[in-house]
Amino acid sequence: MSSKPPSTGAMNRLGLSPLKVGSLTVEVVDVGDSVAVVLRGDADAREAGPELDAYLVGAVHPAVLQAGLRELRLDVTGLEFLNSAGIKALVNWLLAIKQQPPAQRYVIVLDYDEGITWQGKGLKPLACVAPSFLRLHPLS
Amino acid sequence: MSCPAAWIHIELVPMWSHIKSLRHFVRDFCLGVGLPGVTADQVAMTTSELLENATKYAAAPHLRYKLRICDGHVEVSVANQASSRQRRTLRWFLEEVTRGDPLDAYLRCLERQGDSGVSQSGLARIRYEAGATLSATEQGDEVTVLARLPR
Repeated sequence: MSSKPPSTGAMNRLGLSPLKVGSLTVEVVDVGDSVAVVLRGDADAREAGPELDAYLVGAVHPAVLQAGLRELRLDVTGLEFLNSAGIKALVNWLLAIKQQPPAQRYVIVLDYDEGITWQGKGLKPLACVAPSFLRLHPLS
Repeated sequence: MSCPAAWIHIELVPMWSHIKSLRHFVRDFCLGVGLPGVTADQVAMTTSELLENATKYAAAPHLRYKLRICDGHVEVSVANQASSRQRRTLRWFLEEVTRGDPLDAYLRCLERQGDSGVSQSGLARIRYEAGATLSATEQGDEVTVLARLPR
């Protein structure tokens, strides 16, 4: 995404409140007819992985299905570090989408920054997990 | 230049809050001794993942962290006491994550069904992302995991 969505903390079309764990914040913001899930900060607190997993798989995923969205953005360009438990949480989200019948799956466009070392190589395995519904979109 | 050109040895209590502090310190140290930014980031990521594992599974309130910057490579190691069951599990994981192509091994770990939010993929991540070789040694009930990264 060329510009970050505004951080208002206001309720979004999915009706989800932001998640804050240590210095990690996850916020769902409305973007046009869809939403962006925006991760910022630093995800290496002990609870970051499990909380992120619960938020993405347990809250965002069912809300996106309920709203019938076909595509959303996942913006990690402001995420300085994500530990392996956090990466596993992203994978679990993709696996939850994969479990849906193909017609009900939605596409995630992953906005990331090649200039942040872990994102350059570290996010590519996600595309192997979900080649048909995850699109990697490097910051230009 | 003989090995190591620069090094850090730290003994610490396994506390989650130390991991982030050490990750930042190690990154700054690597940059300060002239390592490229990408290498410094990979050493910092390796430090974080190894310390997380040791903090989760340490059987005693004592960890030893070592960083050795050598000609051609960087060594990161963390030693902690562990139960015999945890040492067996570590041996199994290490065999699993060092088998075959690094990306394939990482994907096997990431897609393995397990408790939510528990990755069990830190070692595979180090091997894939940092291009590291991994090994472990045991002395009594102390286990040392060593990651050797190219520089």
